[in-house]
Amino acid sequence: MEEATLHRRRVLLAALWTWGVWPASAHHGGDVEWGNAAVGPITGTATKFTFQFPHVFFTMNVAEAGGVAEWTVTTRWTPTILREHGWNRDSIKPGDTVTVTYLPHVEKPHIGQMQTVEINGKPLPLSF
Amino acid sequence: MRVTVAVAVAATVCALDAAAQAAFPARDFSGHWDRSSGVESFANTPGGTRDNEQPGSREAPFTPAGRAAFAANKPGYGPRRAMQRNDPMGRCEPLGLVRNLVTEIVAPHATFEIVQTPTRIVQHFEYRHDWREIWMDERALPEGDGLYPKWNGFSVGRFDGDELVVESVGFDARSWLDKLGYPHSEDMHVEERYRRLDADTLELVITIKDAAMYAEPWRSDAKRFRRNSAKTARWDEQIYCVPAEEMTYQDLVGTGNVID
Repeated sequence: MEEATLHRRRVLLAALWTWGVWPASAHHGGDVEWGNAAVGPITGTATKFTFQFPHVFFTMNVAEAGGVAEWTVTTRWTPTILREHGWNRDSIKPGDTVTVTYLPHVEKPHIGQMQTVEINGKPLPLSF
Repeated sequence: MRVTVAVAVAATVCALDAAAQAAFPARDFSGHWDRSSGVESFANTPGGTRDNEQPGSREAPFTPAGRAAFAANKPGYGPRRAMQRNDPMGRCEPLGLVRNLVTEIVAPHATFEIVQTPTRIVQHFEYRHDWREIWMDERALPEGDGLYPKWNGFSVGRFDGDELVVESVGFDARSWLDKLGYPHSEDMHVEERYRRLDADTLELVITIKDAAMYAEPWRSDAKRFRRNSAKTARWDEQIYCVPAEEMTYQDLVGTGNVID
C-alpha cells in the first residue's frame, strides 16, 4: 500500500477515534469496518435484495441534496439466522419503501450496517 | 428406625443416580451438538470470548518460531484485531480440523453433528459444510509416505472408559487454530477427548502437541455442547463458503486491504 494511502488511513482512524467511532470485529478477511454508533434514519426505495451468505444486504435509492444516491445496507446476520426470525428472500422487494438506522462504514459514505429496518412502515426484527 | 430411613434414602439416591446414568448411552455421541460454553477461541486466551474476558485467560506457550508465526497472522478479532488481515476464512479456504472443532461462529452456526458407526465416526461441521472421519477399527495412524498434509488430517479413535479419544496427525499448516490467528505446523498432533456429562451435554477437551510452535502441550478449555434434538429432523443448511458470494460482500464493504 502506498505511503500516502496509509497516511490517509491513519488520519481517518485518528478522526474516528476522536468522534468515538471505531471499527467493529469482523472475520471476512479484512476491512469490514463499521462505526459503533447508529445514525439515521434514512429512507429510500429498494432496488435489490441479496439474501445470501456471508451477510444479507440490499440496495436502495435515497434522495439527497445533490440528487439520488445508491446506498448499500448490510445486516450482520446470515440468511440462516434471519430466516429463524421471520425473514425470507422476499422480505425486501424492489420498489419497497425502506427506512433504516445504521452503523456507518468507516470509509465509504453510502454503505451502512442496519440496526433497525422498516419495510413499507412495518419493522422487521434485527435484535436477537 | 432412623437407620432404616437412612438406608432407604441412600438406596433411593443410588437408584436415582443409576437411573440417571442409565438414561443415556455414555458411548453414543451421535446427534447435533451446539456449543454452549463461552470461549470462541482454541483456549481461554486474551480476546477469546465475545464480550468479556473469562477468568484465568492466558497466552499460548509459544516457541520463538510460534510467536513469529502468530505475529504474521493478522486476525479480525481479539486484541490483535487488524485493519489489514490475512484470515484464511476471508479467502474461503478450509478452516482446518481444530478451527472446525472450536465452532467459533455465532449460534446457530456454532455446531457440529456426529454420525457414529462401530467402525467409523463422521463429524459434520455445518458452517462451511465440512466433515472429517474418525476410524474406530484399531488401524494405526499413517507414517512415512502415507502421511501428508490434509486440512482435517488423519484421525483414529478409541474408548478410554466412556471417553472417546481421537488422535489426529497430518495437517495443512495454512489453517489457523482459531479466529485469533494461533498457528500450527504440519507436524501438529491433536488429541480430542469427548465425554457425555449427561443426556444433553457433551464435553470436548483438545490438546495439541506441536513442538515447532508451542513449547509444551497446549490444552483447550473444556468446551461444552448441548444436544439439539430438533435439528436432527431438519434439512441440512449446506453453508458453503462460495467465493463469488464472499468476494461480492468484500467488494461491497471492504477497502481492499486483504493481504496474502
